[in-house]
Amino acid sequence: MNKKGAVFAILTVIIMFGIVIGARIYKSQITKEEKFEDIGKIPGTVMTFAFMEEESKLFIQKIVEYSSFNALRKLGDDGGILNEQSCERINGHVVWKGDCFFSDNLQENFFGRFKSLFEDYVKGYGLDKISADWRIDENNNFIVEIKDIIELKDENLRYGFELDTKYNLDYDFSDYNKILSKANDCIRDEEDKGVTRNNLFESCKNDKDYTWGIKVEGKYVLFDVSKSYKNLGNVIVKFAMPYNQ
Amino acid sequence: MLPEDIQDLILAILLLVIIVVVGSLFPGFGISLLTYQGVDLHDEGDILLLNYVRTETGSGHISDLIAFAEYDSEKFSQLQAATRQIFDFYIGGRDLRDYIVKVKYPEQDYKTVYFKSGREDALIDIYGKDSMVNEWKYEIKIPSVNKGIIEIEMEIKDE
Repeated sequence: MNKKGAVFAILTVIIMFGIVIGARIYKSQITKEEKFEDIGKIPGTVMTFAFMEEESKLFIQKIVEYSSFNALRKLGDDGGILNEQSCERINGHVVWKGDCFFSDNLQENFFGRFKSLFEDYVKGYGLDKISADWRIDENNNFIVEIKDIIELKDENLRYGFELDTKYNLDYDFSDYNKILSKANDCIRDEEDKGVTRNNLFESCKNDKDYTWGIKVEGKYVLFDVSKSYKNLGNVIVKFAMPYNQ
Repeated sequence: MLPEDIQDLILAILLLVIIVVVGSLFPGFGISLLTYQGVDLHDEGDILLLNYVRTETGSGHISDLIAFAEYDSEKFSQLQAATRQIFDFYIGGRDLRDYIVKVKYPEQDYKTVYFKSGREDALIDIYGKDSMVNEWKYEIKIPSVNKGIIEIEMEIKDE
């Protein structure tokens, strides 16, 4: 190697060392001065919003589930009648007679109660109104759909995300017709016993599809017919029917 | 190739090796860029709490277990056992700060689900509402099955 080349090579190495050490010192100083968590107001708020989005989605998913269950329970407590319908009640049991029977459109009747419960939850959580709807899918399942845009606001920042929650109700509204038919049969069987009548309503109590709670009160039989719903608990259909003692 | 060129080439390779070795010895460069950092409860408290609520257990989702334990002491015991397992798995002995997980049901006082202390001599007052001072708080809300909102809170004692 000639002399000029050797000097040039050594200088290059010294400069490289200088750059490496200088960059390292500069980086250490920056790290000391600025804490890692100080990422600025806007990115910090966006991260908070992203977390709130996940939390809100979980909340909505749960309230759809719980509102559905509670709406089914309310519908059952009211014997399936319309929300504003005025009917005679015996010990809280709607008497099924005349115009006071469960409604023709139990799905819509259920959904009216669902919406009211759902909106209460949404309000309690501090969100704006969220639109909900229902449909029957290709497999004949009752689907509750929540589709909306949620907007979160800060002083100068708006953050939006889309909700697309689908919930399969897994409840057969034709149960009301089946229950009515079985209750009629049980009453008729009991009345047909004549003098041997014991008010045990055996055919209902031995039923494997539902659990029957039956009580005779004056001229009426009070029914509490229950069936479990998913892992949430029992849905009880309560009603009273006239009975010839 | 001339002998001088071969000499230059060997010298250049040696210099290159020296530069790479020296560079990699400094933290923040080369190999030392890859660093491991354990779970930091202060940075990840929110995400930890969200993941906890979403965790699937043998008794259902934690969020459901919390909701059903509102009036069921047996379910609440299941919740406490599941919570201990989850937090021991997430944090284990990697963070020695005291932390507490509590739930507040509508119209009820706070109930302690899990308390963990990193110190052996810690005063374990698991039912004390104000047992932790200078704490960091993280909160998540889920619905109650009946009505209202359940608040799940995690408090981490500051160092």
